[in-house]
Amino acid sequence: MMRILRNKLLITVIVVSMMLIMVIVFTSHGRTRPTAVDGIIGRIMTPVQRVVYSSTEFFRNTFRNLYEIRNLKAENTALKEEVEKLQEQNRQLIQMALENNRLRSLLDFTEANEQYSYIGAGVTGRDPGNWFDVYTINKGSRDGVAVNDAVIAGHGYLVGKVIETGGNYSKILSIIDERSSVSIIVNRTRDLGIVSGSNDSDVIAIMDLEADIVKGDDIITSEYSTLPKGLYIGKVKSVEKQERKLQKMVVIEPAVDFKRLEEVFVLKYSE
Amino acid sequence: MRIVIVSLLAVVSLILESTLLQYTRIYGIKPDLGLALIVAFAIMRGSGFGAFLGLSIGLLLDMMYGITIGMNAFSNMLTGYLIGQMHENVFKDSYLPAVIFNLAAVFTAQHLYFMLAYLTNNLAGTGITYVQTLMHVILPQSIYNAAIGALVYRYIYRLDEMDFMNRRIY
Repeated sequence: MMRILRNKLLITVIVVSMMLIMVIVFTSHGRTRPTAVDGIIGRIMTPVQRVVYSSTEFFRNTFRNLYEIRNLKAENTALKEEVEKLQEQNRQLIQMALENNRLRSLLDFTEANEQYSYIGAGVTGRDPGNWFDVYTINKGSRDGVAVNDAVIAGHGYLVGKVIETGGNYSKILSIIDERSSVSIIVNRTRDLGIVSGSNDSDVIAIMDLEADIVKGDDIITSEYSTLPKGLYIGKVKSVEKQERKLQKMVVIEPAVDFKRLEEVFVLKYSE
Repeated sequence: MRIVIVSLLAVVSLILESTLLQYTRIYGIKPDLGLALIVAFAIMRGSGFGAFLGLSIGLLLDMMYGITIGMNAFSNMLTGYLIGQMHENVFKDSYLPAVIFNLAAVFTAQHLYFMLAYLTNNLAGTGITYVQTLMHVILPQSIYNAAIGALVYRYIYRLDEMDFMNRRIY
């Protein structure tokens, strides 16, 4: 017994063990409510813990980055493939959405004008030359398309008229073709005029010198035309008085975007 | 100087354990670097140093990550003390004692820890049983630690023989 008591280290260890057991007993239950000792320890340890924790995070991130480099190449290839796939899908979806919009605008017009019957058609080609603006569509006489029928795009904007029909195709002379001439009326003042194409994408109308027409007027087809009346052509872009010729030259910007023409309707009076 | 180096080692091992060594888990078990440190110094320096180091590392662990304070401190201190008892009876430049004592240290420390956890009702409701702990934690941990411990011992042994360890800094 005396030998054990003389062993200072053993005694120290035993005493510290007792203290630790007491600490364990004290802290094993009331840990949700910190005791005074706990509070002091917590106050001292919190900044230390913060340092340790932030360095932990640093190590973890660094290590994770290193670990991930290995898989990076495979992941990159896979992601690239997926990006390509998604881009392709996205393109298709955008096209579908745009087509949907165009078809919807066509539908609006057809619902508002039920006196006509409509033959839907897709534009298949455009005269590749620079001079003329003839379009071909994929509906012909077999579908009921006849020469001189009016052709409209979305919202009922006038595209032109049919000049030739085959069995399953038709040619359309657009209003911006120089050979085309359409009788028009100024919607605001009911002044009449004739509009024909020009060498650029605008159309030009020749009007009386007295005609009351200003920039921004809406131009529609008149009832003297072979085409149905009231089809929208476009807005007046500029008006030029030509005193010696006793006329006004009116430049009209067509509402139809002829560069991006895809779906059209052939207009027929329903019998 | 020794106390400064050892404290640094203890803190570094703690940081490593909570960070880098989390990625060295085999079957969910990671090596106990702190314990390997305690064993190494207990073999070389004896019971006093072992117990002191065990107490310090255990307390640090308890304060930073433990719920009940004193559990790690108690088990690590007693382990350090017991391993230190062998300090005069082993060849210090062999790896074998490091391997065996690491095995024994994990056994001792984990059993003490388990006992404390059991007595303080920390295991109530968790469904953890002794056999399960022995098979899935204590045994794999002791084998893993024996391997790591031999490595740690080798470096600590070299470090301890350096001159600057005995230099006084005050």
